[in-house]
Amino acid sequence: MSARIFSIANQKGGTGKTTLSMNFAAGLAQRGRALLIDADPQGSASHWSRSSADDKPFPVSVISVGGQLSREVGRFAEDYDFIVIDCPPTLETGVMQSALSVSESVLIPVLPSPVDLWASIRITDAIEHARIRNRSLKPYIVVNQLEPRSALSTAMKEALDEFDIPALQGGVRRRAIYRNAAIEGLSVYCIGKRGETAAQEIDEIIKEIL
Amino acid sequence: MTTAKPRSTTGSKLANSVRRAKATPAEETASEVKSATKPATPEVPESETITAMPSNRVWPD
Repeated sequence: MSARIFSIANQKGGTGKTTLSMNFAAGLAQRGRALLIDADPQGSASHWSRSSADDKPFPVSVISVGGQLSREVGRFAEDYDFIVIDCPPTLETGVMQSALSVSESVLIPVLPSPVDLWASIRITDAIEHARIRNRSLKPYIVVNQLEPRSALSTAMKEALDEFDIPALQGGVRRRAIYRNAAIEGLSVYCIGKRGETAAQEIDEIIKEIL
Repeated sequence: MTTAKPRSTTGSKLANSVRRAKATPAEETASEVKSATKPATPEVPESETITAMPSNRVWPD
């Protein structure tokens, strides 16, 4: 059976693509064999996985791919149940478009800030373009670093109605544990009790997507 | 009968700003940025061109 492929993308930098990619992939790894493709030249996902202790490796295989993304995905598709692609924060190189052309869904992390919202609007053009080749591509916005009590986080729900892309019910809250997991080269799933609540919210996202 | 939930002030403002951003073509935004970053170079008439004064010049009282 061929892998189900998910891209995590936004041409705006700093929206939490890698954090979502790593934890989303780790959550998928609890349901089957998962591979994470680090398609971002910054290599943050690769650095993250290399930060783990030898006796407690990151629970997902992480490979770095520069060019020929769709060919590389095809090479691994039969060996895994899930492939997650951490996309670069640019539309210039064509890598994001390649990822979108082979994915069943794309998760677009957006921070609860006006600047991030405005910058994220342009990704709808990239998705429309990708749908020429991949008509079944399903895009979802994931609100990242939510602070449920803040006025801006509440306002996000209203502003997202203006997007042409549906937002997932579940979001990712602003939690220090995500940063701590990165320092330890782990996911929130394997960081003990400290990561339980965060793992639950990633699980909610996975349930909505699968 | 159900009534629609009124929007919060912040929510309305943010939603309006998203609507405006959507209505702005990407090319227009790029050209605005380009013109905004182009340094202003007003032409200075030749007669107004400032030349350095010699250091040994004695200024009249």
